[in-house]
Amino acid sequence: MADKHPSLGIRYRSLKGKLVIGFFATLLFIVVFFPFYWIILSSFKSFLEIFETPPKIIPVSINFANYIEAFTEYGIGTFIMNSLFVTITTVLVTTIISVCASFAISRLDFIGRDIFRSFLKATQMFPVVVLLVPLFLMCNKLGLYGTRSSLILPYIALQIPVSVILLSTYFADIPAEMEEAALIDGCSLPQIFFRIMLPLAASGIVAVSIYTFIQVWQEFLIASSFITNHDFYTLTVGLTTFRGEFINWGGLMATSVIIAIPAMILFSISQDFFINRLAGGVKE
Amino acid sequence: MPRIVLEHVTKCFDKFVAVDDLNLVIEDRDFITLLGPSGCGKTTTLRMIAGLETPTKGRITIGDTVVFDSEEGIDISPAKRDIGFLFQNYALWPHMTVYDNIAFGLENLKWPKKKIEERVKEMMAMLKIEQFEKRFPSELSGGQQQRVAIARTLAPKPRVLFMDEPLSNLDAKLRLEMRSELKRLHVDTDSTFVYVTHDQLEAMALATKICLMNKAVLQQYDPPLVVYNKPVNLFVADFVGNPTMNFINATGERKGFNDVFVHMLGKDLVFHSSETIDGDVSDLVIGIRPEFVKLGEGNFNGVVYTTLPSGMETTVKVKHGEDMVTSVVFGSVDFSHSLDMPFSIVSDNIIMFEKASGKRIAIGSLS
Repeated sequence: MADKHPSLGIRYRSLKGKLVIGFFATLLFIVVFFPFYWIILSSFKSFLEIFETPPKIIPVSINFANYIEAFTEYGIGTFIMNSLFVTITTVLVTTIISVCASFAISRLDFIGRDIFRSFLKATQMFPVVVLLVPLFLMCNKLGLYGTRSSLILPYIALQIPVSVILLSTYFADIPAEMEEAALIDGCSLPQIFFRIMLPLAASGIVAVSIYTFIQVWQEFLIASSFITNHDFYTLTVGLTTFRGEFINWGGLMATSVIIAIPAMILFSISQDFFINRLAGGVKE
Repeated sequence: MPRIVLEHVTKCFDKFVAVDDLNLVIEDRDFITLLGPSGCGKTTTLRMIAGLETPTKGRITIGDTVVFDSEEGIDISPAKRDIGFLFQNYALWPHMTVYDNIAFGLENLKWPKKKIEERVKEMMAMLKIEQFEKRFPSELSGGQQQRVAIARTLAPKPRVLFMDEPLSNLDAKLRLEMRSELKRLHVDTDSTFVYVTHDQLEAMALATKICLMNKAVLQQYDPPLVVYNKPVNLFVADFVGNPTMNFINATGERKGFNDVFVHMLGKDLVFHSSETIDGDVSDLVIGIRPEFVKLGEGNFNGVVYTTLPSGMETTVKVKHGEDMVTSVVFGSVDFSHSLDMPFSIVSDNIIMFEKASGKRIAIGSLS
């Protein structure tokens, strides 16, 4: 039942069509959203309520016991600090290096640029699992195994290629005239970089560093393989401590919520930055 | 004061020759337009003088300074050439306010703060953009951005100002307005302007001298009216002027030093020039500007093909056997199609081209 608009050819949907679409959209929403809802819901339930049958879908009371327990009994405060330290260090180092590198490969002419670019892409072909053993051997040789550096260094190495590839598209999009105008106005290369290119790519830099943050924040494989000392656990590894003789579901869910919070905040901020607000110097 | 000299300047991109052995002298305080169809090398030429592009061969001098010499390995950076460059897309820095955009170059020149402020205010007043001082470029219209770009370019008082099709992003009305302002600015700023355009009307209206290029080669370098009245070859004659010149194939036979018998449009005529006519006159193309074709009476009998009124003037196309002759009539007329239309060709500025080479060999009258 699709009528066409006589002049524009736009299809108007009938009420029935809208209902069908609405039904499937709602279904999809429930499938995607329900696990998250279940995690949040369970994190506020007491131990007994979690095992209740049938389970309550609407919360009766909000109980912070699981959160308090996660901090007091399981010491996730330490895990949070570890995660923050590892993530922030990685993001800072990765961003600084990739901003310089992506400026170079997108704006400067040097020998081996194209080879370097293909090399960056080639690094993306290997899954992390494949790299785990060589990384482990390297860390061991350098005497870093079990330290926080054994996480930070591989993270930086793994994140830089992605960051450079993403960022160089931002730099490549800046019109060459922006640079040339600065050149004629007497800017040196470093001045062009700091005063023109950096501010113009700012939204891209923020977006890419948020992406890096989320990637590192939620990383589990390397963190669980290289860290053995309980004091150095990151949040994702910390989740495993809730699995003892029996699983403390309430604490596990509360910690999951805590892990998800920064990612959610950053995602909502970054939406603004992904829409390049500084673009549009010229109407073309 | 600066005089720009280009000697044997050549630019190749891989195997493609963008500019081929260009020799050009731009006198101080000239307003030069580099004119030509797209891809003719005009923008490349401009960018080479400005230092944004490195020539493959040749020598460029601005004033007393050699800014580029391929043999001596001299290549002075654009910043040190004392020039301004106005880009087609304005290239305003979107993260800076109008004030900061204009002041940027002056800060780099290490002007004292007070002098910068004075100069920026002066430029904003000159271009009537004072009210936008604190705005960002994205908050301005195309025409306003253009003004800011001009102010930014002029602020450091460059000796030479380069412009790369600066008006092509504006609408027709604004373009006319800015055209007259640019010409006025040229007088007021007392500097040399080099201007790239593909719009022959713009070139005619603005320039003191037109440098017409085609396929990487300089065709003609003369004042606009000389280019218009005495085009050196068929390309120039065809490119300049709107509506374009009539080109009529003819055969000829020499009558004397100054006269040639010409057979064209089914008639035998005599072409007379005040100067000696050199070259091969057997196969010719006769070039007649539309304004030299007088309609209504005469010994040629044509038929009206179309009439295109534009208000002030009317373009009439008349068919004469196989040939189509364009005429421009002052005022508004509207002839009905297929009307019999006698016409005559009246001028001392009829141009005779050699058909094989396309070169102009004479200017004169037909009788």
